Amino acid sequence: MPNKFEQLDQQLEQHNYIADADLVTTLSLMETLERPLLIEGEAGVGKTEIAKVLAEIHDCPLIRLQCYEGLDAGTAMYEWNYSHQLLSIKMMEDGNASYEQKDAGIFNEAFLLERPLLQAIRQSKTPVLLIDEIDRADEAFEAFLLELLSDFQITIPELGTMKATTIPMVVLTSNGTRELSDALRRRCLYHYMEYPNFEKELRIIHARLPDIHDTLAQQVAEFLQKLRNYDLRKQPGVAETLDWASALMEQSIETLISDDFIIHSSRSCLLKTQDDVARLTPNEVGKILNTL
Amino acid sequence: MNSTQPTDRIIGFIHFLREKGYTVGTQEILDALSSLGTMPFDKKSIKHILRSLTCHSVLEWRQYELLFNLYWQSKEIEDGTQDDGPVKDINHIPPTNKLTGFSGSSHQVPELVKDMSNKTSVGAGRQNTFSTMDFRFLKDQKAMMEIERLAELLAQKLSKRLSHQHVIRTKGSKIDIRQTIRRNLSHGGHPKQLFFKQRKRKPVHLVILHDVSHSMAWNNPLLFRFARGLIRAFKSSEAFAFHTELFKVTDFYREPSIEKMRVQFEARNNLWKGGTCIADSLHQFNEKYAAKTLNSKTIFIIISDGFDTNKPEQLIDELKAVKDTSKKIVWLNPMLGREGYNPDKGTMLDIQPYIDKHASANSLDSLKQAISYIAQVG
Repeated sequence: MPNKFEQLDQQLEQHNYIADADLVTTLSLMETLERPLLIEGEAGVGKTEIAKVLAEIHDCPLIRLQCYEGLDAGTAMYEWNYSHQLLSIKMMEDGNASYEQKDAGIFNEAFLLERPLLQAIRQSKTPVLLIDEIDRADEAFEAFLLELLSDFQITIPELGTMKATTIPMVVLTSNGTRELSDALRRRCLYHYMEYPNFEKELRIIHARLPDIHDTLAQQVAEFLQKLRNYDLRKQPGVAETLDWASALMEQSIETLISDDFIIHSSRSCLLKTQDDVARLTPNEVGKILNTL
Repeated sequence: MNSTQPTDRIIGFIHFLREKGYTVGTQEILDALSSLGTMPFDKKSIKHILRSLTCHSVLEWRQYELLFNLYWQSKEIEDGTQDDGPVKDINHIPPTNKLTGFSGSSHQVPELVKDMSNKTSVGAGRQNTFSTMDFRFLKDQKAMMEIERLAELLAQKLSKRLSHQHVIRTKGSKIDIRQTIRRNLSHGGHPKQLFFKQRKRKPVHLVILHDVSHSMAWNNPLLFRFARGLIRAFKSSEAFAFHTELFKVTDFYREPSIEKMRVQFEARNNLWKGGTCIADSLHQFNEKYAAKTLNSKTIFIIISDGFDTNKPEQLIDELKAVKDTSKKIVWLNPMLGREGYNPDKGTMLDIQPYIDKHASANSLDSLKQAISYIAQVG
């Protein structure tokens, strides 16, 4: 009977996620130790996808919090339902309720709107909580997260501390656009995702595009490996690889040769900035294609 | 590996990591030991488990493999389970924090600078000392790294200071319902007094020109991080570096990895070498970039000691052109405030009427003051 590690490895592959042994180990640890996982790496290497696949494997809800500059506790944790509170206050007008009674009357769970973080700790079945691109949020928001990540609880001043009914599997991702605090890092397991090597990228292409011709898959993977050696501002990730491979399959292409469609499709699918387009001329792409 | 004492070996390895600058607590040791019972018990799994638990940054992650292999190889030789080989002395691997930043870079610091900076050394973690300490007296590598980090954080704080979005006010266009309800409960819930959110302030537009000539060598590791912090905090800002010519460096500063940024800088530009032609460089800026980058809200920051081989009149002409199309010109001078430096003579005296602020940039405190000024006028 496969152990937990082997089982997870198989499950990831069944869900078309090709993971290295160290990532499988980290994911196993995350489940065993019930600790959040911080994944860093360049955009497009498959960080967010891990959370989605974990939710599929465990057949549980995926709760996603997309971070951005200015994200506050009201959007991420909880908010009061103001319109209902106002209505309630109006209805209490005729009564003789004291200030304290009114306060308790409108600041209770009936008026509480759950946002992703609060939702995540109040699920009956363990969910996957994806806190995506945490580096985009302000430093102050990181401080809000600390209580959740270490004790799996959220304190609401009007109601008290709400403890998790089930411990969510927390995945935080970061593209490294700013340094995260040590406090946040220390609460998490850590994994850094590199761009895949040739073998892994080939496996990913076959897993995601099962109908692809073998030669084309090999050449696409080889092309991408060579392209990443260029000094580009935005290196193409796995998502770009798959987009390009799909575009080539749509045109029933089975081998990469230096023709106009392949050159133009590679530039439009794989390059994301004007600088990179200027740097990697059609001529340069042609040269790479000729080496395959 | 010798499986007779795995616990001791793992604890020994974690201690070794601590010596190399990794922050690993007792909880991580306990977690490691408890996890090993649930995973395949082999060297590879141990390596992966300990990496997830002990690494907290990409630098630690990348150095880990080397440290793990060195430690285990040396222990296997001790046990006699592996032949003696060319094992590197494990104590000679530098701590991870020495691998980041410009201070840890391989660039050649001129001898003159070395002499000047050898006078004093400070320990890491003494923030009060750091605040007022002149950058040129910093010799200790760890202290330099810390100052670099603080300089970048300081720059980023300016962004926070200028983008406080939800200041509660009693006038405005967007009602803060939460505050309105809370503060009117004493009136029975009637919204007698409305509270408003302040409108989001438009981000400040900064253009930075950074002197990377020989005379600025000892200041630059820190001022680079400071400039980098500003550029990363203000998304529409632009940065240029110059010595005898000007080159655009915005993309370098936006690079998330400091190590990559350093490599890119060193690969493409002649840093900390040669003389300074401030006026020529400004002329290049005005010719090529000013129309696209300057506007009436721009705060134009020049980071330089002001030692210029061009004539002052030429610099004045170029500064006039910049002043006409920008909001403020701030000159951050690492020499200002240092003994023996007189700003009231030479180029700096001549250009005073054409700049709005001539501020010191030789310590964290002076950078804080510069930040305060930019926050005030931004």
